[in-house]
Amino acid sequence: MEAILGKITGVVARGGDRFAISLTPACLLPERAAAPEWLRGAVLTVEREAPDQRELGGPGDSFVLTPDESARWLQPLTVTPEISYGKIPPKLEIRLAWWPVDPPPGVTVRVGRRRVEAIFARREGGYTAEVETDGLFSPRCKLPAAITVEFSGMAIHGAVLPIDEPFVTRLYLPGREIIRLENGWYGIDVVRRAGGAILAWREHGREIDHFAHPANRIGSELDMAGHRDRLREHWTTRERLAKAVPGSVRTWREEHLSRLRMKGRVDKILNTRVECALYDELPILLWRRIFETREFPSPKAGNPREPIDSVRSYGISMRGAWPAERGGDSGSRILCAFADQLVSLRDTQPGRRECCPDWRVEYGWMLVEHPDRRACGLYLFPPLPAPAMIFSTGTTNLILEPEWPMLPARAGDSFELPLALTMGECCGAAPAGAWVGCRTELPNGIRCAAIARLRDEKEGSAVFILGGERREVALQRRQLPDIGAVAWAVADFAGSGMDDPLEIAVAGIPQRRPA
Amino acid sequence: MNIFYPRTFSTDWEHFVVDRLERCVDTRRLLGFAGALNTELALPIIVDKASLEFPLGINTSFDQLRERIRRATDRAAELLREYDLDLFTAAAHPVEKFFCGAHVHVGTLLDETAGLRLENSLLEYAPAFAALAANSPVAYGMYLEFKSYRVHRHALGNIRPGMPRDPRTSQRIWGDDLGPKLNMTPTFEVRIIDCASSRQLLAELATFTAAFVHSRGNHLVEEPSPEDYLEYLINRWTAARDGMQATFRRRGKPLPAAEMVDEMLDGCAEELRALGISRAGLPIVNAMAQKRVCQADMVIPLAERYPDPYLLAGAYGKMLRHWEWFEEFLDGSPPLEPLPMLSNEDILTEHLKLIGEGTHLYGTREAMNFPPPAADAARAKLASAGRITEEFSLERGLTLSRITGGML
Repeated sequence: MEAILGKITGVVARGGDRFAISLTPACLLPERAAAPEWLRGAVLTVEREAPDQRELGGPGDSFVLTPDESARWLQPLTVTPEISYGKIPPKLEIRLAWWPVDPPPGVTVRVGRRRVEAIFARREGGYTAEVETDGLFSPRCKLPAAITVEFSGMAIHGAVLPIDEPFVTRLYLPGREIIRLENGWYGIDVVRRAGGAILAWREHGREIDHFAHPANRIGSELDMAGHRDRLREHWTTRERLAKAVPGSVRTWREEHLSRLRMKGRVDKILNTRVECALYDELPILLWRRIFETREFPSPKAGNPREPIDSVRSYGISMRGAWPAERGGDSGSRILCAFADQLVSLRDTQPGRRECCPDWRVEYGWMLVEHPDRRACGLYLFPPLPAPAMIFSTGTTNLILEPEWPMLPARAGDSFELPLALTMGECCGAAPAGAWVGCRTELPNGIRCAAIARLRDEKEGSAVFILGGERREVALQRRQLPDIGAVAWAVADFAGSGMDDPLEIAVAGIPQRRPA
Repeated sequence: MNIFYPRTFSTDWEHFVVDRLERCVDTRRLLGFAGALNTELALPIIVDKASLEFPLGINTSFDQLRERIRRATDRAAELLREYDLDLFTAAAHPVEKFFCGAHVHVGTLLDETAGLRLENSLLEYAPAFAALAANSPVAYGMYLEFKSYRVHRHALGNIRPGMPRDPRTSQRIWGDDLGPKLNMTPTFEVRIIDCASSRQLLAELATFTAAFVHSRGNHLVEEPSPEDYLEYLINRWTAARDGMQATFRRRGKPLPAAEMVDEMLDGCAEELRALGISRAGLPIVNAMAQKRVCQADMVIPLAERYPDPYLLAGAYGKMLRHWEWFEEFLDGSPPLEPLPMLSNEDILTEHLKLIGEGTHLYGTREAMNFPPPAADAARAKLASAGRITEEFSLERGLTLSRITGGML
């Protein structure tokens, strides 16, 4: 999360160990990016407790705010409700937590071509404006619909999103721009950062975010949790893709699918594209990273040139990071198959990196399991070429970063990594394959699903037991482009609830249980 | 006959430099400041791994070194301030992946063979220096489990546990806890010492280290026994975790780090005198031994109040501008209790802590850096106690997995 680093203009004792620190914003941590325009020249004040005043510093010194302290200045404008499902809210409350000028200018609320102006009134340490939505939405308004709030050069979105209907839409929420893909199972937030990455993965049924970020902590959100891709050009992974921001974003609906495509440039030689699709009926997301090489710089006239002079070596990796459960007995673990064995990897200490170049992850799947919070994620990828397993433990997270072999690329060549991801609450794994199961609420019951990667393509079944009720469902198979076959099964339970214990077995692979 | 003649000493004191956006200044920019200070102070000030390193010349007395420390850092701070920069004088930075030391060079040593024998004899004492100097309880991605992450994590390969060496079959190596370093200046280098945040403490610490090494200059021994070597490794780990509260092992019996330091101070009285000081003239080191307090104990409360590394770096950096911060802290600190000596079970537990599932054999070597027979014995004990299983494949080698059921 971002936080303000400012330069102190004054420190005033407030009694006891409390001090009021005045500062002017200098930049935003962790990237030390420029502070937003509206903070230019502003003097902000925070209070801190310090047993020794020296640790605060004095005029001219730097001073770091927490993300929570920074929020009112970095995201001063909010709209409530930010997201509504299914129904247009009768009223919107626009709140301005802070503004350098009193009174602040007016605010415009817009839905399509319809617009309403409003004036802020001072209230509760900030300003609020209320807007009736009566005249804002046309009777033929289709969901998802964005409500744009424009104020002094900044714009944020509120949104009315469909209920029980899949969609993909682009939203400007306070402090972040996202592309949200939703189906009955998930709400997935993709961002343009890092060449296109997944920042949040909410499971509707249990209302949990698999990529939840630690609260009030300064750092790159994607480094802490989320999925991003990586580009290797040398011995180490250079983070050039991390700095790429696709300029083109396109979203659209197809029959049974929500789609997103983002395109951009990594540098003068390399273009990148990410293509993403969320099935309407299944808890599975397709994610494909593509790189394309352009013309290489020409040598100086008269200099000799060999074919190798127009070649670069590139490799793609992915990086999935989750909040880690620590502990050798019960912590987060990674499961995969190798040489007809199920391999379990669980690290106990932060700051470690495990890799084994000779050891390739076979059969095109990797499973991440967090037993304490009953969360798991399954990555599917082409069985060949198999990636080398690499994982590491950060201060707060578990990072899965398999590496696929590097390849030589000439101008015009392209290389890509197709992935499929599913997340849920239970899982099973064996040398024969792995699966993840999840559930979501229906108007009159519960729908459960299991997504599996199985070596054996024979017919089989999945057994679902929810609240003591048992269903055995034949496994269906779907060929995912370049990834291979995925098996799946869905079962509906009328009258059951999200609190009922769920147990699944897929093709004879039982559900894993906490030790 | 003592192998050190004439008796000289110095310290290579490394500092981060931070700007007012709290960035550590990089090597490219530091080089100019190193050059300017080098010229002005007539000291070979250099840049080493993004730190400004102050080699403080050839000294023959405590007063001389103390004066050089003051002069060099006063001028450096003044020059840096012109550019809104500050020294960040700590052994580790909460946000950056660097460590800083205060290597003590003890001279004059011309006999490398004797230096190697001295290295063997001094391994036993290296943990005491680590405990006394511990000053990195927070480092990049690491928080408050050790008092010296620099020693525990080997300063990212820049200080490694030493190993007994036979001069007849040894090559020059670099980066061990201590050893002869004749390839540059004719000295014996003690690298294990964390960067000190106090100028007075650094002067005392460097003088004490030099006097003690001088005092051992005619106690040359052959290689320590495997048992003694293991104790050194265990004590090194304990010093990194507990600082001056550590209780070492000596021949299997508990020996508090503070008592060992006390014994070492008494043991080099004559050599201290030769460097123009007495034990009573080292008030900080004496108080640290008496109270079992090290610099890490000063940083811990600050880090507890600032769990976010960026916020800690800001507050820590400001406190580090005050050279007397540690003296003030030490004055006001109550004595700390010694922590219990590691039992054999504790040692196994520390090895087990590093084993999750599919942990490579070498993952456990990071526990205490035991050599293969001792590491294998620890592994065998864990296996025979039903705590771990072992698995072998040609591709991954030997991997270990914990059997669920709690710690030993």
